Amino acid sequence: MIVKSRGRMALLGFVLAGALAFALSLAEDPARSWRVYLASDVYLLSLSLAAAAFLAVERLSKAAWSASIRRVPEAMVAFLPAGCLLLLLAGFGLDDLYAWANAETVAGDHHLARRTLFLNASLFYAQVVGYGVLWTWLARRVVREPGRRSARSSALFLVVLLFTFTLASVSWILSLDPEWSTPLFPWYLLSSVYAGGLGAIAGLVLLVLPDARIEHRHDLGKFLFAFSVFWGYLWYCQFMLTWYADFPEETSHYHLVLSPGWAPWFWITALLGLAFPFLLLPARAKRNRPLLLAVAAVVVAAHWLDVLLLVVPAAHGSEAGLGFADLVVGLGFAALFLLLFDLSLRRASMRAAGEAA
Amino acid sequence: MQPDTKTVVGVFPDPRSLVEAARAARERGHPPRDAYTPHPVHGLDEALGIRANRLPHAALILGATGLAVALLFQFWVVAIDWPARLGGKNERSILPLVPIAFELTVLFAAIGTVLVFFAQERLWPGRAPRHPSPRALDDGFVLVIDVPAGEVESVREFLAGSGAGEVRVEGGG
Repeated sequence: MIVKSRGRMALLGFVLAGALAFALSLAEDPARSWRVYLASDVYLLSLSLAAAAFLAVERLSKAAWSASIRRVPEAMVAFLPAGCLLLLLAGFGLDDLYAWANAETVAGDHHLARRTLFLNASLFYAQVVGYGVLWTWLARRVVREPGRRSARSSALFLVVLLFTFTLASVSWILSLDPEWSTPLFPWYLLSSVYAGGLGAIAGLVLLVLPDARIEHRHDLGKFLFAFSVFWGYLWYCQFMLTWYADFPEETSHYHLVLSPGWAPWFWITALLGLAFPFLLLPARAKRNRPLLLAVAAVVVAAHWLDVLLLVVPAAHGSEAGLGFADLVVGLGFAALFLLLFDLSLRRASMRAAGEAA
Repeated sequence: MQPDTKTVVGVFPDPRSLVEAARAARERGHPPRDAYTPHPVHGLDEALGIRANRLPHAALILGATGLAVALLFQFWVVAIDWPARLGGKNERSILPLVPIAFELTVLFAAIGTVLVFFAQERLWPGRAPRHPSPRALDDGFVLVIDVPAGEVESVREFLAGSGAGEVRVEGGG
């Protein structure tokens, strides 16, 4: 319906190119390529979660307007199980990714040794499988159940998501840099992926539902604006409080991302994630279709960069900055996400049942 | 208001018929003065022909004022009037000033815009209410049209015909 078969072949081509780029870079610098893999997979997985969370929030607030665009976030949930499976594959790179997975490193660091109670290989796999099953099951219920029963599932999903996402963000992302601790981290990541998720919802609605009502596009623009500003607020707060307190265990990450090789990427992320939506989407501009589409795409890219910056800089011994290969790997994941999105979209009518226009 | 102008008030039972009547009234050359509803009604301002007002400009100016006040005052306090180097931080850095600048931007814009709105609508405490029908506070959707005395009957019939349960003519003048 939305993607012609040639488009599907192109997406498949992107997936293969991404896999090839990943395989090539794996031979060269495994620590770094596993991190790009992890960041891209966790980001797209989180976009699926954000879509499910959006549906749950809409259901719980009894919002009626979003009925006409429901199909898009519903189809975005399709990547969820695939994303968890791909994360399970990151188990092959556990040694390269996490200091806590390396017995020698742990033996020489008594701080790290204490943390292995939570940070260890079996618990990593258990979390990927457990959260994957739990999220997929609850998200399906949020998507499929009608009315009142769905409200109960939605509430359950949101509560479970907040607890499990907090644990997952610490064990999958924050633990990559064993020297860095920041109490705001789970919230920070959540705000980033939710803003990215709203960008993806707005962008995909504009692409696959060209006749969506202008008021609904306007509402999506408002969501995108609000959560971009929320992310910007947390981005600044985390940075400013870390700078002000100046504790070594909190500043290590900022020393890395503000080093010459990474600093441009750090500022570009803030520019794309906060300045662009803030300056380009004033009141009525949200009704301008090409403009909203462009800002949505920029926001999705900005939060991918944001997650990459949390993950990649701490890779030991690799060059600072991002390159073409990283982009190809990211696009490969995005293409897989779009393929599953398209597959899921063509299974149902584009309009939710009982929806007038 | 002209001395020979009357006010026709129609109370509709639901928002949809109100919006349709407002649009139809404008089309037949009797633009409504205003509408009163118990809750915001989607598409009503468009049906009434109300154009965007300049309240957002007031919000922008007030927000910018709040931002400037917060930055200048804080900077004067920590860097000019009583410079103190705390924790090795440069006292001229604006990083720690940002949260309060943000809060004051919001505070000035929010409170100021409400005050501007009150002034614009001539609302103040103790002012006698101007409701054409108390039902607009409960279950009625009220449309108010000013018409020349000669056309009162036709407008009254039009409102009754488009679903108004209760139509009243007020003296005007």
